[in-house]
Amino acid sequence: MDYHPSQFRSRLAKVRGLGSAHKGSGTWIADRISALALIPLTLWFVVSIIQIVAGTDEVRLRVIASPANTIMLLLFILISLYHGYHGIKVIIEDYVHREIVKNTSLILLQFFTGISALAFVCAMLIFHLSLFSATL
Amino acid sequence: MTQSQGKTSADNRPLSPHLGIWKWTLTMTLSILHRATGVALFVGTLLLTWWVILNAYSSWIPNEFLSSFFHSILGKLVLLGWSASLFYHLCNGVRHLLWDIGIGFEVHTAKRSGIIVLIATALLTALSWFLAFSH
Repeated sequence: MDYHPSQFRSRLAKVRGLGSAHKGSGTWIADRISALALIPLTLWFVVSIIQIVAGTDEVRLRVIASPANTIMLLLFILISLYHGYHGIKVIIEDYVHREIVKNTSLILLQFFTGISALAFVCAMLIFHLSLFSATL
Repeated sequence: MTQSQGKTSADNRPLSPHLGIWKWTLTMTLSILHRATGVALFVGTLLLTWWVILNAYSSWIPNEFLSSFFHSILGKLVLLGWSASLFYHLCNGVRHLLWDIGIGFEVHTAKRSGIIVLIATALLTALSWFLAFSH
């Protein structure tokens, strides 16, 4: 019997992209760890907002100008954007099936989240620089 | 994959019915609510981020930009919705994390923890709004 292995193989073009992706558990873990970090950060955020809304002007300035609160706010916003980015990515992958629309949306999501995160860091820098120069 | 590059007539096959036939259960509702609040939170967080950015590049006067909107009834409703979404997603998120380590998978436990999440959300939202507005 003369059989050759190539007789039984699917064309590479047909099978490319199928099968296991061999990655993704890192993302799963990152989602959970960012969620874990966001538990105390969210509680801090809520407490700070209450202090700002309900406090006197003196309390308000103290909360906004405190360096510890700036770092906490940076952590809260950046980790929220990271966690939320992964969430929205999964939603797009779940509900959008046309490849072009899906991939464009995913790229736009990445761009917009990245730009927002970076612009936020710059805004915190500008704000604190102006605060420090005002107290000089 | 060749199948997802635009649909051919062969791909327009009938699907099994889903939303039209399944009875709405608590666990089902809380699950989709977790996703919906996630989206709402993401949009709200982006808005908050850009509000801070725009305020930092003008002068930092907390009560100026958009403040009139947030003092209106509609603005307060938006804030209420965002804060309720935040507390719900937080509490249900903890429920999810517990599931991830294997706690609470029994049907009756999942229903009970779901009710606890709803009560906690209502309490936290009410408490934070009360504290914020009782000067």
